[in-house]
Amino acid sequence: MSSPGWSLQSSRYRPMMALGLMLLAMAAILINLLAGPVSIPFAVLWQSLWSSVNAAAGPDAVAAEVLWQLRMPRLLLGLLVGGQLAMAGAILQVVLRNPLADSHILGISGGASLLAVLLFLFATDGVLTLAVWDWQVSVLYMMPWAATAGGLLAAGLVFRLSAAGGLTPMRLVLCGIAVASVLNALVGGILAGWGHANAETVLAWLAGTLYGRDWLYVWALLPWSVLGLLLLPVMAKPLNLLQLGEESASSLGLSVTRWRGLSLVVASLLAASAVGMVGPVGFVGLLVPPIAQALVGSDMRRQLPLSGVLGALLVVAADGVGRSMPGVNELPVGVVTSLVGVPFFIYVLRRQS
Amino acid sequence: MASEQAAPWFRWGGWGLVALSGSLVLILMSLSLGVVPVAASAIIEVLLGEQGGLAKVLVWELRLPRTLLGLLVGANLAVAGVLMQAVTRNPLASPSLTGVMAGGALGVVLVMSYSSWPATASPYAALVGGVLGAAASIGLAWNGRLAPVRLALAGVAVTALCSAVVTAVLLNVGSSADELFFWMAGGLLGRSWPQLELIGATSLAGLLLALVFRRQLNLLALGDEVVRSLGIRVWRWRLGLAVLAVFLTAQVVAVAGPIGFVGLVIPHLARVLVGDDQRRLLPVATCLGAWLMVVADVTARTLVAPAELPVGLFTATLGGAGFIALIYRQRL
Repeated sequence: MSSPGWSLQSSRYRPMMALGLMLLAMAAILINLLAGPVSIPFAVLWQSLWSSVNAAAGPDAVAAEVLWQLRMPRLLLGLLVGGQLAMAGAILQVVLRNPLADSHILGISGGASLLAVLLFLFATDGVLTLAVWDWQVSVLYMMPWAATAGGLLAAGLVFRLSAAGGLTPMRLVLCGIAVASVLNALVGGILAGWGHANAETVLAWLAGTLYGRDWLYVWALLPWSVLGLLLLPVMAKPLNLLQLGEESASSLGLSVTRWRGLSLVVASLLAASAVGMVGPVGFVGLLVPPIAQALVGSDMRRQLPLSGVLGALLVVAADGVGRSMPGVNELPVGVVTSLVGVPFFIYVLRRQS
Repeated sequence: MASEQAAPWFRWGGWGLVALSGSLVLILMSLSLGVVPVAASAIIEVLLGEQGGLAKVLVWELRLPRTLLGLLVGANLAVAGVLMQAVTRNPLASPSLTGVMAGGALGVVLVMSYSSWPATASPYAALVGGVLGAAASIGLAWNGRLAPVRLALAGVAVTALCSAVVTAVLLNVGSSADELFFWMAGGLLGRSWPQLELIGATSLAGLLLALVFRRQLNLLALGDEVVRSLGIRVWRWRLGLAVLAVFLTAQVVAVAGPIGFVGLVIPHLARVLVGDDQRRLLPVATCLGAWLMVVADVTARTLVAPAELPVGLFTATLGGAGFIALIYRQRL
């Protein structure tokens, strides 16, 4: 993806790029917080950032309520999900040495969705009672665990299936497509059987949505994001070596198999826990890493964090676009990312010969 | 080969007998099984018009049209798969993997949501959408030849795009979405005589047409140079048969929604049984597809009765396993 002569990669432009990104991020965040059915004046945001919510009275109180109970958690969750998906994509593309690798295509999203849906199916009123100890556990907090387990299982299955006859990247992608389509069919079937009355909720979840996500979701996902963030500095160097190819990496003293497996686990963890909270948001992990690579080159110490930032931005911007669409319901964020991501996927596919 | 020449009609008659009796057994099973079982004797009485009441409603109004529809849907999908695989000479070509199904579904959703056309227009909407979907995936995957993996990936892209648009449309329309969502899940629940009337004649005509052209299908498998040297216009046949495949798929999509994998797996299963000769492959695939669909439908409605599972659950599970077996067999 990177052309050697591309001037953007030279360090001269880096401060400018960082500034541009910051401005973009600020704009996206402000628009997402302030625009909507209830438009909120900037003054309210400024005020409520520094003083307690209750201090405001009258219409400002409503605005502050909308801001803090609806838009802020949604924004934060969007940032977390986008960052996680994009970093997972960056890791997968390095490990599988394939620009088409993405948690969606490799079945990780499908596995995560399936377990998430099953969890909801067996819970009543959002609480799952574990029969053995009579524990009452909120489904929401179990969701990232279940989704991660599902993602790992799916990834493991895809690997096992494609490893049997030589692990070529294309074969991996094919097995991924097969497993993903089965899992997606199962998810669709279960949801269709369960959710006749609330078709719209189901549809939105299947596409991946941030609608109605409150602080609980943010708190449930946050530990996983933090875990991912802590792991990233550890991952960057081995990933750099893996980029060199198997022989070079092992001759430089990297135990390739172990790091490859570990990277896959981390990628599944990041992607699947995000999918468990918002549904399968597609193509973020596919779209972002090449852009990050074009901007800062293929050094993972820079590319990985930048992917995270860009992914967060992409999801928040997509959510902003989806919310402002006319129609009865808002457009789920996953639909917007797919509409942007598919043409890019096609572009990559056409380039690969 | 010599023995085949000896008594062709006897051989074909034997196979025909097997197919017919198998189908009859399955139809009887499908008519009798359900939340309320109906005895075989009662079924025969209903079919002869000698019994009314509950049994008549169950058998005549609910189960018979549904069973016939299942046979047609399965046969259509299987034959569409055989045609697409022969035309593109690509083992992964099939209605669901090349975006035909998703394109057709998008066509139906668009027409049903934004136009005032009656439901009878949906097969044509599916046909237009399916042709566009197939053209898009094949066009995207084409780089001088049609590699299986590229076709599958292009199909994934087209399918993802179509389903994103479908979701957007359904959420945008709102109130009428419930019905369409139900249909999008795929299956035969609640389908009856009107649906059968809608696609019955056209599907049978399409299936017959495919059988008529079995020799041309065989020739297409030989490769372009050979076929051209025989004086056959390759591309004309390719295009015609591909459109026929999309037409058959569109009939299915219009009434039963998108049902994946049958069109991918059944042709390969038939190939394992009788080999590559399209003259045998086509009828065998037709039969297997029809049977699979009826069995899947009966399972879907009896497994957790009185509730009903979507047929897609079974076809996807079966089909996914078949798909993976295929990846191994073909060394893709």
